[in-house]
Amino acid sequence: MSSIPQSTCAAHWFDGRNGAGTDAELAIADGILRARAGERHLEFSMADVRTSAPIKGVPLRLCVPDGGVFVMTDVAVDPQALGVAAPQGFVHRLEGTPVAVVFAVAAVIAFGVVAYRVAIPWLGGKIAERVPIEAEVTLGTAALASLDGFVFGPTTLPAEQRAELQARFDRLVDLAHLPRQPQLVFRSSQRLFGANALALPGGTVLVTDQLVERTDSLDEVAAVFAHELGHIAHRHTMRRLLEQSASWLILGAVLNDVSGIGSLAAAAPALLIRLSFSRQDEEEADDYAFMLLSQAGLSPSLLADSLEAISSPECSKVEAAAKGSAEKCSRVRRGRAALPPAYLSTHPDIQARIARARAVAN
Amino acid sequence: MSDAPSQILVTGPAASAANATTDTVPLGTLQANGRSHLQLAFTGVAGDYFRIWIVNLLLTLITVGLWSPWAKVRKRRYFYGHTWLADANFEYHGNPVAILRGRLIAAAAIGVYWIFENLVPSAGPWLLAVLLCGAPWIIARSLAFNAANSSHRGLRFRFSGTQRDVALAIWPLALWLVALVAGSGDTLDFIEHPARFFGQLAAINATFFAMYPYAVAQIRRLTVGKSAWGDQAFSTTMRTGSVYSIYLIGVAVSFVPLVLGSVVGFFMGMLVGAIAVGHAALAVTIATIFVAFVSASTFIVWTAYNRSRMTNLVLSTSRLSNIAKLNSAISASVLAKLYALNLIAIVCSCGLLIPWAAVRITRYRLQAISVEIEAPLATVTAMVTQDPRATGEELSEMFGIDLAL
Repeated sequence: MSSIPQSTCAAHWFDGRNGAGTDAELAIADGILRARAGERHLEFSMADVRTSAPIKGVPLRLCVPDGGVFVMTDVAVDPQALGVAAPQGFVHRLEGTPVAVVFAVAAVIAFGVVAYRVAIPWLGGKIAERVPIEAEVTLGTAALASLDGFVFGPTTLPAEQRAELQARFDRLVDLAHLPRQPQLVFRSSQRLFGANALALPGGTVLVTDQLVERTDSLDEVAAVFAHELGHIAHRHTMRRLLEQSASWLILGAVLNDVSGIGSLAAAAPALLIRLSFSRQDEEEADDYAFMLLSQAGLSPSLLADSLEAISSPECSKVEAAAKGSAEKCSRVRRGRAALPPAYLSTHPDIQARIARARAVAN
Repeated sequence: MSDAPSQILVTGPAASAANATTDTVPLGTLQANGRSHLQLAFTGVAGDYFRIWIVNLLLTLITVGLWSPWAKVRKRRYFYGHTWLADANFEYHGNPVAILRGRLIAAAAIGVYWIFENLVPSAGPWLLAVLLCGAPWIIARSLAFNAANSSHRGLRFRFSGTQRDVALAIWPLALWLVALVAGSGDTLDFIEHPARFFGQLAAINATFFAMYPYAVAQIRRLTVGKSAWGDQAFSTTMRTGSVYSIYLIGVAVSFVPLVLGSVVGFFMGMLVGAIAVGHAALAVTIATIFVAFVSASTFIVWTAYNRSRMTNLVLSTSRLSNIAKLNSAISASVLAKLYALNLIAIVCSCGLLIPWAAVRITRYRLQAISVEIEAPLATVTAMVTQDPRATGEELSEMFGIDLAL
């Protein structure tokens, strides 16, 4: 502490006993705070005086024992001018340094991008590996139960067709050697989900009647099974669910709004329906499908065929037969064009994937 | 925006008023009958607050959240310190270490809850029971912590409500949660008897919506009625009926953008559908933007109406002992315009304009609040003395739970 007497400083004095408050003048020298407040003369040892952490535009406070406080009249008076030490001085200096502020803006934006692109996917993968498979099964069963009735109806495929598909599925599963035996479920979804397939958490593959009707052969559906089994083998569904809830959690924490935390169990059904895998996930699942199809003695080009059938604006033979004629079927489909082709919205880059499958097949 | 001194708006600080310039501070307008009329003033500047916000956000990110209590205290001290009534500003005394301890405990509790809810679904009802028993205690502690750590003119505020008081105020909400869990049954029920399922759900929710304004009135009366500044207690004459009319008119007012939006959306959908045949992606994009626009407008109208009217009602029916009367005149339409502009600014700046929005909203809300003091300020303030129970020291030793109510 400097022994040179500081110039006096105007302040407001509140004694902490009543709210009246008087004008005061104070000076600090030799570790002693001396003040004249109204008619009174006050003296405090600086060892007992607490200085408030400086904040831009807020007058500095010197808190003395027994609840009294001097509030500087001039908001520009800083601890250095008074010759006192103040807590959190480094934060205050950072806040007042333009370079530091610009750096903070850049760093926060960079942090957001890295968290979204790198850190959260990595963390999602690590956690998904450690989630017990039984927990995943519970989550998948609960999610399917809440989607049944809202999004999915019971299947209307003939029993023999389902048996043939089940046989193909079982053959692929035998070759896949997954830690838990995956199940196959059939559902119908006219509009919301359409011609699509889904890998539920816990390893259940869901396929819609609409997808089966859209494709021209049951082997094409088997190719879709192989692709979904790829998602199961890599635990993509659980990873993406964890990532999406982590993103909301972090966003909520940053914006100071913890009420935004939704529970995974409540959000899972809605997320599943709109879940979009990354390009890398799709490629991993496709690679897995190519391998599985080859082992089963089927051509990887079947996956390309099924993708083409799903994304094509034309009707399949089965669909055309159901509507009476190919023209009528196409007309109905164009009429629904305002709705997004469901499979496309959850499976991006479909043309690139078709080309890849054809290349592998050759 | 939760950094704004919500506590100030609910209880104490609404207790006096002033100008922010430091050289000449008028003590309000002294009226002929010796009363003074004081206006709250907010002197925060968006640019200054932005610097504090971004630097502390970065420090919070670097320290994996450990800095967040210090960040919170700095941000809150910025808002309190820039809120002036007469010649004195407010001060927030929250102890970051206590807040950190509270947050660590809360994070652990959320973690346990998440694990149980997702991995042991059968534990659901038990978790709910724990939550219901703990909620009144947490709310009471949080209100007490915030009040005890706020001061004006060297005197602390105080909230003396107990968990029993809180439980008596919020019981309709607890009942609703229990009814939802008990009444939801299993999903098979829904597929087999959809009418009964929805009927049950509708009945439970209708009862809840009918009870909600009652619970709001109770908790607001409790927050004001059990608060004190120094040794002077606040009191309220708010009637439950006034809260009901605010909620009913609020619903009616919010229906305007919803109905208008739906009608416009219907015709626009037909038009876009006709033009964009075969361009599904374009049509979906347009529809999504429109739905977002209608939802945002409805939400803004509801929030602006509800917040302005509730603040006006709560403050205008409150007084500090027999010495001061509070008043608030926040306009719903001005608030709605502020919200709309803030929302656009925040979305377009990816969140970087949050500080700007927070400062604008706080400035408008605070300058609409005034205090009528029934004697010259100097005489009145000298009457208010420190309540020994209001030091806040023993509370700082507790964990600093802080809820935005």
